[in-house]
Amino acid sequence: MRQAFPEMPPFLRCGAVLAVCLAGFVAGCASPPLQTARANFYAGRFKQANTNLAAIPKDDKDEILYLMERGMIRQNLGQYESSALDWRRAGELDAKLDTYSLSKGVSSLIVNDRMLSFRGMPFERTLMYAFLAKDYLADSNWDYAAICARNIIKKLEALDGFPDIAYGRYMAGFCLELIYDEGNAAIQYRAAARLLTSNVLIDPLSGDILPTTNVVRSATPIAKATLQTKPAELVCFITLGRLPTGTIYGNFYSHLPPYAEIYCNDEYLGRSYPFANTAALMGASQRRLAAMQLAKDATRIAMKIAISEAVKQQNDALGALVWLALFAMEAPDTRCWETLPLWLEIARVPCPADLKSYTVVFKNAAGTPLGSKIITTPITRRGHTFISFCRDVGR
Amino acid sequence: MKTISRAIVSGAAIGGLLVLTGCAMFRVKVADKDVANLPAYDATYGAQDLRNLSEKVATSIAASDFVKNQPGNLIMIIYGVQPRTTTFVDTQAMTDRLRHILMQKSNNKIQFVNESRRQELMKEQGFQAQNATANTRTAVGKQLGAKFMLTGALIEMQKQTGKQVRVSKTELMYYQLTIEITDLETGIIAWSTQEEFARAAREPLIGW
Repeated sequence: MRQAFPEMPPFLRCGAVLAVCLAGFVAGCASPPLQTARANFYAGRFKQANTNLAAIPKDDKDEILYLMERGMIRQNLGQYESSALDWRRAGELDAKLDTYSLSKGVSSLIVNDRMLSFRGMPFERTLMYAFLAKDYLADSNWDYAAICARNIIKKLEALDGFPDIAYGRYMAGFCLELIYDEGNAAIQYRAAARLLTSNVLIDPLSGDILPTTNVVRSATPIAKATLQTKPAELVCFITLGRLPTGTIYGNFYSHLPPYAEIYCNDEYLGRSYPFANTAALMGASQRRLAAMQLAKDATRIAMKIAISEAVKQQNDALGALVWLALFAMEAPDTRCWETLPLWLEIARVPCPADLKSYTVVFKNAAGTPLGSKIITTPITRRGHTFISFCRDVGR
Repeated sequence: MKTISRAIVSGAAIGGLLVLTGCAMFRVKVADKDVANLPAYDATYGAQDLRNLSEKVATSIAASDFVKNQPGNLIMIIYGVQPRTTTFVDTQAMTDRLRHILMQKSNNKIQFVNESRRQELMKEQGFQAQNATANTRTAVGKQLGAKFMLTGALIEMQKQTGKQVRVSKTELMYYQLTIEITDLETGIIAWSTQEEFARAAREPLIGW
């Protein structure tokens, strides 16, 4: 039998074979259950999506990503407790990743960034607590929702150049309002109001969301004139669409947002207003990391060239093979929490005191109806405030 | 050269064998721990803190003049301790322990209504009213009303070392537990006590 590369020492031959195997394993290995789960989720098959991610591998570098996705799937299934457990576990794992792993760091310099444990962009980590808060709101666990609020605030107070999130601020303020921490709630409402680019005002004292149409922006808080007359209010967190993957270009806030109208017993209660766009948040985060990523990519490419050149000096053919293997492994890290919605909106509208269900009509920016949903659950109540949320995965 | 290679290979093989077979780090080890001296692995609230805080607060309440000067038994209801923290602290575990220690330390002078099992209690009384014999069924409408309400809050404050060139970060956590006893008739806070502690932990920023 003719031996390939006869002049090559055996350990180098073994190394080359191992490198090629590793390349195949690392670069070509996708995660079919995750992709299938996402496809099922966006097709509205939440149960199947949950089954796809029933077994999450422990200590996997993508464990946080799996947990984030499954948490979202379970929330849409109405399994709030297990959804909360997933997101809390993801939060715990994320805290552990504050320690930089040398082994994963070095392998990411030789292979690609996918060798690193997934943490998500800062906005993804912040929004995870905003969605976790919704799980606790659905279970009337106001204290734990407030813990989520504190985590949101903690993350938003340490942005380090990453974008602030009005939706996170409002959610934090609302959760604090529910435990009667009105002072801190007002701080968050004010911060949310400062961030809003749409024509919306937020009353920091009551959390009321009002359109600026025919309302003069003033330094004094807006009087909650209807408080005396309205029997109750509904705060509904409405999410629409799907976070796009890959590199985000352009300003997504310039896109006209869809919205949702809320009806109860055929009576129009009000509409939702956009508080965040995840594509815009992703784009801003990517721009914040661009210089760092460029430097890292350049270092990795230089290292790959150096390795293949070193092997080439021993053996030309093997050098070429190693070069091929190393650059075949080169792939951008596009991992992200794909079940995140594109638009994060909030409606705070007056409602009947005995609210049992309501109808949400999703509309595009031009006002054309896109679909509707009758919401009966989750609807929880704290005092005169009803709390609910819904997701439109189709747009 | 050949001898050196052999020596390296043999050394690596022996080292590998030692690591895999002899090193305790690679074996499962189970050991009971003294619950009174549980170690803290990070700066956040843990089992030892639950024990310490409950013990201190319960001792403070049981030994207070407020309890001593009460004629007869003190019937209380616990309405929970609010976790004003960033970690998901199970404050119900704290109130469970607080209740237990208070009953022990006060020789049952402090009594508690079982607020968490009211539904079950009513269900059982209903069942007995329908199915139990007249001699054994419990009388309805004889439950004792609480005179005092026990509530509280666990506050957490956190500080971390700022951004700088370093290989570890230090995290300082401060916790303060406030327990209040409110007179349900007057709405006045009849007694209040506070316990606090702080803990710093240094964690490496670079690991294997």
